[in-house]
Amino acid sequence: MKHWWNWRKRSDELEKEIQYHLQMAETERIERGASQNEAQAGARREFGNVGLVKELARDTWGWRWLEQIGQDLRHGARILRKNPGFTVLAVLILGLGIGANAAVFSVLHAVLLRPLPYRNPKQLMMLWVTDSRPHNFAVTDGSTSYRDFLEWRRQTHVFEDLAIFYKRGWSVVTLTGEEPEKVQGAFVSANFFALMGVQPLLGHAFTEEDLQRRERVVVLSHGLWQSRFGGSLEAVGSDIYIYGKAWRVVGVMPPQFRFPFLAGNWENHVEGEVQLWVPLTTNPSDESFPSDPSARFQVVARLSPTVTLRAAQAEMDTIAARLAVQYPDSDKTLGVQVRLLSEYISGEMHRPLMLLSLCVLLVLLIACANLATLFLARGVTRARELAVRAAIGATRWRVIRQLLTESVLLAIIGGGVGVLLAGPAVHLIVALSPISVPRLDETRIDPAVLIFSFSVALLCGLGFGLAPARRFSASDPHELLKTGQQITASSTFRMQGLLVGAQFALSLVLLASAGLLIRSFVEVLAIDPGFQPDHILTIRAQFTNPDATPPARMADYYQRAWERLREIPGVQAVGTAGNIFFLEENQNHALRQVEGHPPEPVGSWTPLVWTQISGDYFRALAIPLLEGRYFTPQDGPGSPPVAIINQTLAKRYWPGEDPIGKRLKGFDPRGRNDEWVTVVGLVADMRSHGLERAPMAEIYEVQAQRGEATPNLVVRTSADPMQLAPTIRSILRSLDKGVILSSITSMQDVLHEQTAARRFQAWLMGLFSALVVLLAAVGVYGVMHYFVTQRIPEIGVRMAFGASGNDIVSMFVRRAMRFAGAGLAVGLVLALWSGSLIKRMLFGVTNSDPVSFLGALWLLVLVALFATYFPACRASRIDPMVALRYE
Amino acid sequence: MPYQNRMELLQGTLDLLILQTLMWGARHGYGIAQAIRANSGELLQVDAGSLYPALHRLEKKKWIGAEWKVSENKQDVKVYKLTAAGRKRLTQERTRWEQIKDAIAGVLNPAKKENQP
Repeated sequence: MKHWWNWRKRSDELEKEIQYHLQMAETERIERGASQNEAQAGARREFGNVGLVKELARDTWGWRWLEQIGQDLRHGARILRKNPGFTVLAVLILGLGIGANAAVFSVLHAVLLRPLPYRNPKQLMMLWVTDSRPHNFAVTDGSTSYRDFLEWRRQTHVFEDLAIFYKRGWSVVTLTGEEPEKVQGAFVSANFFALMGVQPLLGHAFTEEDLQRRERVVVLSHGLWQSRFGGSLEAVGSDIYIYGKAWRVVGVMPPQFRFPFLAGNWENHVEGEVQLWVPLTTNPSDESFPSDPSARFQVVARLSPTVTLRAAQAEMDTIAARLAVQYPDSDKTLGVQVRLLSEYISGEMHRPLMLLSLCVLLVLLIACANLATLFLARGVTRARELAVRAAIGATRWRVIRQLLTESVLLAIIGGGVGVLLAGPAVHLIVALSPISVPRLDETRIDPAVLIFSFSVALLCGLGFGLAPARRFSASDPHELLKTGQQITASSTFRMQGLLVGAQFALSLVLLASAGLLIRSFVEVLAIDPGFQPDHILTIRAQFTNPDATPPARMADYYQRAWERLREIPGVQAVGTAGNIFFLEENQNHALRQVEGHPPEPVGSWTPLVWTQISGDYFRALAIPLLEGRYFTPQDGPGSPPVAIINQTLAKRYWPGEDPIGKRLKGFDPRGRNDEWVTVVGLVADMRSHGLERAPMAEIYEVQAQRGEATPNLVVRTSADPMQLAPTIRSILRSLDKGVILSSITSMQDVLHEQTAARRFQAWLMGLFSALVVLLAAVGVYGVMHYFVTQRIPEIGVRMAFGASGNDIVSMFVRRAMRFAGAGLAVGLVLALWSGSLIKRMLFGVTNSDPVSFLGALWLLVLVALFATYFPACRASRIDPMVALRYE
Repeated sequence: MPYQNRMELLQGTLDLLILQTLMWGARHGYGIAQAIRANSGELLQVDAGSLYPALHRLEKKKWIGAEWKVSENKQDVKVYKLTAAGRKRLTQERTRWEQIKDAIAGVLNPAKKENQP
């Protein structure tokens, strides 16, 4: 713009300068005695062509190239308008390629690349506790005790400050007169907000005094403030109720402040994000908190600006070693790892996002190879136009620039279409994303994405424009004009063939990988979960504060729920469980003692869980009882403890024996479960550890004997389970007002969710494959179409010498298959290699699964045959007489 | 002006002439053309198609500067004058011209060539 203004100003000045020149010449002539008219004409004649002089003068300003670009753009636009079919095809191909990349980039940008919304986020570290003990005893969530936190804080010099956060999944917020709602909360130390470097939007953050006074004060997230207070300024100073006690709101955080991002998998349920923060010293259910040695905390620290991560790590190592000596009982096996906070938040997403990026990059490369072949093909038909331009004085560079301008123009339009497509694609990815990814919901098509998309578009434009431009610069315009197009045709065809081959190679890589992942998904779907998931309703009924609810009240609730629900017409069986699924990576455990069995060495431990059930749990899930009996109402707090085990456990301890009547003890480092439990039943295995993992050893206890919460209800119905949901919900609510109901779904949907990640993967790969197959077809078709057009005279000669239509068809098909075949051979090697890269993501198929590879191979061969066949047929129908006269 | 009286300027000498003309003071484009014609005894005729591109080129190279003045009849006039860099350039150009002149003279009178050092 500035350039343009400058240019306008200088043009005006030049005009004035020239006018003055003419006027002076005129005046002088009049002084010498010429008439007005003669003087004017003479001055003009002497001056010469005013327009030319101006142009020559303007040339010296160095902006000529700008004008030329304008000309090139206009010419390019004209050419594109003249071939709407080609233009639309090219724009679509590129738009799809760029769109996919823009969508994935915007996810990548939102989740990984963007700095975290805190002050100097690069200085923020997690102090992650490591433990060298076996899993059973070890600290695995990186948490530390309050005592150690205070020691760290006292002893370190490498950090500006250290703060605690401690997320809890139990928090319940109620406002008087409103429905209770489950909300995630986090305990934080008073310096937490200052350390993160974010000021509250309203009110103030916690102070040391708040902590000292143990006052019930709370800072709200922006979201909770909006949903519960409607964004009212009066929120600060008013009360909210947690566990029936009033907490005073002292502050509201700005919308971008979110921490921790996701409140983890508490009881296998992602509970959503932390919505409120309370001071560390105010745990309502535990007065000794936080100094209770069993309370564990996560620690976030801000590195001093001059200290490196390595130096910080070295100091924390020293401190950990010192603490290990000082407190050998608790700290002997502990270490501390200094981790970047960003890695803690989104480190897990690195690999899947990189793989996704790789896939879309592959799609883009294929699209570019495709466009390059199309451009080359078109370049052949335009060879003459270019030769004429060269012959009448256009420099070679000028013609090349013209070609590049055209392809870049096309690329930019394609980029625009891509950005338009990326919008819905991002929505789709965010909506379908099977797992909760921190910050994924903040994905936007923002300026960074626009810059990325158009830069990629520009690069593509230069890339696929360069091939025909190079082609042109290598040819001699005189030869071209003399002999026509054949000269360039054969070498162009070779280059196109290479591009088509490359495209087929890359397509095979993508298609074979897609085949492997889709086959894995199908394998997972075919797994027998070990129970019958149809006609089951699941519902979560949680006491607002399970830690403080008397066991008798819970047992009574489950008993009454069982009695009332089974009376509903259409209900066949009702049961509850502490947990149905254990989807976390489960750790290896052993039992404290097994009757008649030596203690197991740590090395032979395998995953093992205890879970409590009530009612007709097994009947509701239709897990068959193999031996012994189910629990009965007689198995109560007063009677001897009993357990039902699954086959995996039976095989582990009593292979080939009858386990009924055998006795065992739990293994709990805190010394609980120190009584003999008698096995009374044996049930079949179910895949509670996740569909893709082998069943693990399970011990079921009856809730009435153990007294812990079993919030997961399962109801087997004879008809569609969701029809009974309202009835079941109202009965459960009437039984106890202190129970919150959530997650009312069918068991089918629960299993559906467990395969969601694979479904998403399969779906995405399928989409990419379809795209790639389409591109491959277009590529081959385009090349063969032009190739046939080039060869019309040759076809005429061959037919004149007696070649049949079939000979012609097979000649073209053979030529096309040569390139496709070579590409596929290279692709097969690449695909085998990429198969080994994704080996860990496969299930039930090997990474060289012949079905996937041969399937992809055959599909592409078919595509190549089809795309060649039609242009070849056109060639075979050519009348030889017409063909010979074609030139 | 009769065509046959005009002499074609040797390539690259126009810059020299312009710089030299501006040695005697600031001038506008037409003034420069007139001065060159007058000082060459009406033999050298600089046409506008060469003059203005040359002026703009020299201006871009900062050998001459330009400023806008108002003439007696209240018109904006672009006036060029020599800069310090232009002065230096003029000396170089003059030296180069002398060399060319000697070289051409040498070619035209080959007998004298042996006497040249």
